[in-house]
Amino acid sequence: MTQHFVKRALLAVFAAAVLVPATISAQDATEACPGSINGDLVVALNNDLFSTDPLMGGTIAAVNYNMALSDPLVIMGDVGPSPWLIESWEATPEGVYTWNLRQGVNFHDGTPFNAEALVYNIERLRNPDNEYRYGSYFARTTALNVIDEYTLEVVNESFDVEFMDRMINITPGSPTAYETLGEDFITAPVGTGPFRFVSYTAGERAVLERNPDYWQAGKPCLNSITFRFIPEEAVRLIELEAGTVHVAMDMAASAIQAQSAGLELITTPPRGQQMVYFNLSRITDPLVRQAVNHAINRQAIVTNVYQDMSVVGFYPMPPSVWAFNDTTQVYDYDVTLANELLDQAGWVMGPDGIREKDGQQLVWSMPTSNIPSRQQASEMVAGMLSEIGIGIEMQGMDQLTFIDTVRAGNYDIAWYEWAGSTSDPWAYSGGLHSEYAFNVTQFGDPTLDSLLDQALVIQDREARQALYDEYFSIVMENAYVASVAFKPEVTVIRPEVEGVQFPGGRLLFESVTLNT
Amino acid sequence: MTKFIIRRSLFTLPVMVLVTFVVFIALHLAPGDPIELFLNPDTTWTSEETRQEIIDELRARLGLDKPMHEQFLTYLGNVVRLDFGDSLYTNRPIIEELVPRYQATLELTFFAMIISLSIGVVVGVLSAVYANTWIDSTITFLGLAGVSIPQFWLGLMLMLLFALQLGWLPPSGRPASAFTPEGFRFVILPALTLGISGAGLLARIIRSQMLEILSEDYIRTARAKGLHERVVILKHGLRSSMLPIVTVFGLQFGALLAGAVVIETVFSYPGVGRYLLQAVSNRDFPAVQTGTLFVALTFVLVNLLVDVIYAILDPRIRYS
Repeated sequence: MTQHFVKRALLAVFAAAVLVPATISAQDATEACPGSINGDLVVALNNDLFSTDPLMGGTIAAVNYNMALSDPLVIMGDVGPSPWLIESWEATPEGVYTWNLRQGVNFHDGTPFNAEALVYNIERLRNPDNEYRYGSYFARTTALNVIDEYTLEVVNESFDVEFMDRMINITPGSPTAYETLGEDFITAPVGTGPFRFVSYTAGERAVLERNPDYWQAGKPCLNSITFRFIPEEAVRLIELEAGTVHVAMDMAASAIQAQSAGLELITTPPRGQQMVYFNLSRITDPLVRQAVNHAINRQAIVTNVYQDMSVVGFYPMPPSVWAFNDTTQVYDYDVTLANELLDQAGWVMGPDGIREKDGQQLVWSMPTSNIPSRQQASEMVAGMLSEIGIGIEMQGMDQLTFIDTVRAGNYDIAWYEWAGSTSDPWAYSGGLHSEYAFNVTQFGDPTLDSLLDQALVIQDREARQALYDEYFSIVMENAYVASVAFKPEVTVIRPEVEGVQFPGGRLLFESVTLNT
Repeated sequence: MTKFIIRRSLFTLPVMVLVTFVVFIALHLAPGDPIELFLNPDTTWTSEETRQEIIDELRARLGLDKPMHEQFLTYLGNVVRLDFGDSLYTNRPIIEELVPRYQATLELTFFAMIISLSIGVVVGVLSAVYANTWIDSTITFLGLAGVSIPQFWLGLMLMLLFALQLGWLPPSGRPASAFTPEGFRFVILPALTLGISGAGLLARIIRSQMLEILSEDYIRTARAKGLHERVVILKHGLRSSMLPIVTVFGLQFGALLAGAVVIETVFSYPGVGRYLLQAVSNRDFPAVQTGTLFVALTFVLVNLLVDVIYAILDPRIRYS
């Protein structure tokens, strides 16, 4: 395996948006709409789309719009991807994927969705001039062989456990429309989805109308969907309460208020990782890191900052992921033990309440994102560490600068959040890989690297479990990170909205109804 | 008169070049390489070489590989030809994206000015006429509150009251231009929020101006010849107080444009302010540059207009 491959594969895992499984597939979703077809649904997204092209994606807002305009190749199920536009697939250990495509699917302009159309879309994604965000998914694809009209063979350099998972992000557009409209495609984008494009106003809204020829006969159940771009969460809540919006996404901070206002919450299993990272090139003593792990009152952070929407997680993988193993050592909140560990490491409490060793004070730099909840969490961690004699110098900065700073290794300790990830344990294990471009911990260990490399390319789950168990037992024993909690994606809906499904943290629109 | 206007307009040219220069230099002196900053950290690269190739290509495309003075001259040339380049984020011509946003912000500012003026003039005159009474004190207090209340908070409170509790107006958005019956309902709340903060200052200025004028001899003459008090105040008093208001109007316009950044975010209003905010967080440096330039030049032009109006209203100004 090449270094680049590892780096790329890891990057792709972490680049994937929020994916959470739910038992759902196209097959169980085909019963007819409960009432007559009507209703104009208004969905509030947290951000603009920036592009109406269904191949673009890249943000929570964009992937949800794509789910209405087009169809994903697969959707996220309980233990991995489930069929959608790809009805079934096979993979060889050499990395040859055979995709059997759903028949009878047409783009809104009448162009049939088939192997040729999919090849066109993949080639379009792969063309660097187009600057699509998911082009790299096919960076290791060496051939696309059309076997027959509905069978496509994708030949990759080698097997990759995450390859099919990533296909949830691919929502194709009509080749005819791309060719005839060229650059103007974004003014009239064409997909296969339950809704057709009507209009888009930058920074304001996108309007879609019912596709009467959708491949799921009789669906969708709504007349139209309007996506509104409302950046302020408080305003999304007011719009919901006023009834001018029916569904609002990204509502974690106002979930409790929404509930008390009689609105319904739809949450994914908690998968977004919230943790404290150490710069391992600077904080080298495992005793010190263990002390930090014991000094953090995880429950207090979850309760005070995340209003108990997140769940405490000592083990750096959420319980809903199959490779989760709760038999490994955990670090309970124990300040006395934390102090003992620091004493043992030779750090003596100084007169000003900060520990010292060889004339040097135990003071760490802690860059902090300006996202309010993350800032509060960082402040709580700093307060907890000061109780055991570790001085923290906090530096506030905007989120992008924060990410740059931490990834460049210009920090000692940092509160870090991943925006959730795929159902595969791989997603929770990459942060310490030396070849991983986000190696925020500035760390490399050949044993850990090799365990992860092996786990990426084998299909046998038991063998993978053994590798991950070994990997995480090393990570936990050395306290390489301090995992704190996992947070869910929260969507709020009004009571008159029914039939909402939320596989992989994205909405399925064809069965949604509105009782007005 | 024409001569004055031409001369005054010509003075604006160096200001505009200077503004362009300041906007240009500010963005170039900001820490970080715009290209490196722009690249999505989540992007997967097949190799370090491809990454470098893309960086070099982007740098060359944007002319960032040339010396600073050359970059500025090219930029100035492009601006003169109204070529503002493409957005790094959407790959669309910036001007195409900015014009509808600019129109939205101008509409918002226009209605905010009307609200600001209506409240400011009425309240200011009342305050002067009833100087040093409880009416005056109450108005002074409210005016101070109007200036001091954070727009973000005021916006949310107005939204809670008028959209949620009373249900009279839609909470946020801009489905159509404010000059259409549908769109007008949507501009009221953001314009009100912006207008209230501006009204406080305006009222204070009108009050002090009116107080000064109401003690002039010609006001006493007007009263002495038996004119109705309303005519005295509105025709003889207010008219003469309007002159400094024009100046404040110009400054207020700039303040409203700047305040629109906050208001547009709160009210999900697709204006220049939100465009700029998004461009900054996407590190879309040509878009930030162009957006800033638009706002700055608007300010310069409004001030030019104010000077011209001033000259029309008060002929003495032309000769000084």
